[in-house]
Amino acid sequence: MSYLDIDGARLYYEQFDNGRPPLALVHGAGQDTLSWRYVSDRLTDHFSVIALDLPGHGKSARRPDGAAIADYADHIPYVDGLMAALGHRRYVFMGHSFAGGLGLSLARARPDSVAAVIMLDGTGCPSAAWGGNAFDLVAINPTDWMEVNFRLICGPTTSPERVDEISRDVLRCPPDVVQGDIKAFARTDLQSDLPTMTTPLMAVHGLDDWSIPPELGRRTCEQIGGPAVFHGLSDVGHFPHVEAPARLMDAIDELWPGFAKNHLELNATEESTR
Amino acid sequence: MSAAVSDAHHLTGDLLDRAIVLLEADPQRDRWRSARIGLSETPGPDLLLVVDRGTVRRAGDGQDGADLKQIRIVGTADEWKPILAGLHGGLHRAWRYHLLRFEGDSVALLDLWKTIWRLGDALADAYRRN
Repeated sequence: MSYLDIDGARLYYEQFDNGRPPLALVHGAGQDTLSWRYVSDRLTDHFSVIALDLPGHGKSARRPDGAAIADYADHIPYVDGLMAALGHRRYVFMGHSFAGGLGLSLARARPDSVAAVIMLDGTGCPSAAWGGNAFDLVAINPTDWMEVNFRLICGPTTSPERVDEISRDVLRCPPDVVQGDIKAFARTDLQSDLPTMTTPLMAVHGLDDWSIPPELGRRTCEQIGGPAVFHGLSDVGHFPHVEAPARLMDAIDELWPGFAKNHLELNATEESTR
Repeated sequence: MSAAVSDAHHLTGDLLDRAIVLLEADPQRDRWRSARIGLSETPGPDLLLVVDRGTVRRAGDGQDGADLKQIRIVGTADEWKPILAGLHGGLHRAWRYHLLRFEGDSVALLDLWKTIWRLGDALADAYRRN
């Protein structure tokens, strides 16, 4: 197990270093590095993978003041700091769900760090259907709410065993940390910034995802100023990396090499340092 | 009791009775918090469900469960129909996307979230079996 102290917080990470371009792999709300267990091995065909637990998640400590983070901006120094501490000044960012918005926020704030974003069922755009005080009310009982949420935003054809597995992920996360993630996600609105951003974006989305509907991923691709590609996975809900990991990786195997060849600034992407 | 509800309604007393049979079989129900849940397909009367210390029942009269936390889930026939027809995500999705209106004690509502989920599934299951 590997830990690094970043800005006073002890962060857990898993590293699969093979000399390929570095990838910061970041879990969704209320989850941790375990959520990548079905795809991290195949991702090493393309990347040196650094999967990390955000502060307060999984095996990472909270930030020094103990408060849960409820804003993407407060996560950025930890992700970028960990990658820099490992010798990666420029890297590809891959994030699921709420971490898709985190990746875009990171690319906006630190464009020299982020060579490309791979967004898995994420968005930089809010949904008109969200709103009111719904996400604030979740603070009353975030663990139960999120457990039910995880269960029901899987695709309707996903195996019950995988649905159970996904729904249990949130039980490992403190309720206030879950609530912080939900708040950060609910505040996602990068629409005014997207046209000015030139970071290459690849979005892969489960087409049965009603939580972050595929239209939002597609719209984010249309609005960003840099090159972008959207790919939908049929019969998959909000968690392609757990619901259909082989199909997700088949899509990445097909899409990423050409996308990287055309759009990744390889000279600016440091090779992994061993 | 269902006779008091129009045939045009999807949410009937008979449907709720059949859903309660399914809820009674839920092995987790002894862990559910107590509340009285009104289900309303407007225009029409509320159907009242009492969840009380591990039991689930139709409210016997206006006073049954009146001392418990009160929750109402309200919608028109058109709004209820997709939920009862098995829209993936059920009442949870209805809450997130404001497909129905959830009224009453917000703390009780969120405390009962797993029960709300199971209630939506049971209603849809009973609706489908019919």
